[in-house]
Amino acid sequence: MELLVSIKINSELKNIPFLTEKAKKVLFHIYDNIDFLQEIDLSLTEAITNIIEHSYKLVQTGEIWVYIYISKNNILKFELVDHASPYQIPLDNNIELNYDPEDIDSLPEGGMGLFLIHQCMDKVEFLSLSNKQVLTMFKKLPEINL
Amino acid sequence: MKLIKTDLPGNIVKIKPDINRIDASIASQFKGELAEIISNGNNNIILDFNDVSFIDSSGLGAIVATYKKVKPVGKLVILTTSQAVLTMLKLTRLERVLTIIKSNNIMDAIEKFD
Repeated sequence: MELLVSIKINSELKNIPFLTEKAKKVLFHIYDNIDFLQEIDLSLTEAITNIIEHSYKLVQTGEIWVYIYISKNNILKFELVDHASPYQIPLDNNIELNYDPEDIDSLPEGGMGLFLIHQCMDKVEFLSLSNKQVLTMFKKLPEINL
Repeated sequence: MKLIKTDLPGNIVKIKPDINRIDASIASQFKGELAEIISNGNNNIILDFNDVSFIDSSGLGAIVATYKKVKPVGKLVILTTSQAVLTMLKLTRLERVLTIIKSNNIMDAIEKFD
């Protein structure tokens, strides 16, 4: 795997656009497709928001590292590392968003983040260790000439 | 973030955020300000998202919360041609629930209140 870029931000929600813009700027040179770049923006935003809200519990002094790699067979790997409180996320890659469109009370006001990540990415892995959490997302690029 | 409110004929209000990104950093404020607008008696709302180029699940949650408040007594219409917004609504299947007008012409949204 070749490291394309590493980006560090403090655990403040307002820093997320800085990170996603930087990531998209790098990835634009690999695949300049607006839908693809939007999916990357959305996945990174949802994942980092989860880390800030659930791992760092909105404490703004933590650090989040994002490493973006590309493999020889055109698979992008996004590795998100934090060193806050351990937390768990469902590993099921077939996560669903269940609600009844006819039942207004069942419409979701939250809990959509992980579902959206799975919609945009091909595979999601999560590792919680004693001193860090690593969320890894994989996305296969379409057949392109790099 | 500011919401620009425009009163329209027929007790309709158009609400347009002055930012192009609605994410978790402002979703709570966005939801709160919409709730305040509703509590002031505005139940027919057009959300003009034509300048919104990104929305995450928090922003979408704020829209759903607004819809739940308005639905029993009025109507919420989303006016947008933003592909990012439309994609989010499609991914979450909320396009089947919410009234979405794919246009940047306010008249197209107003027609939905007839």
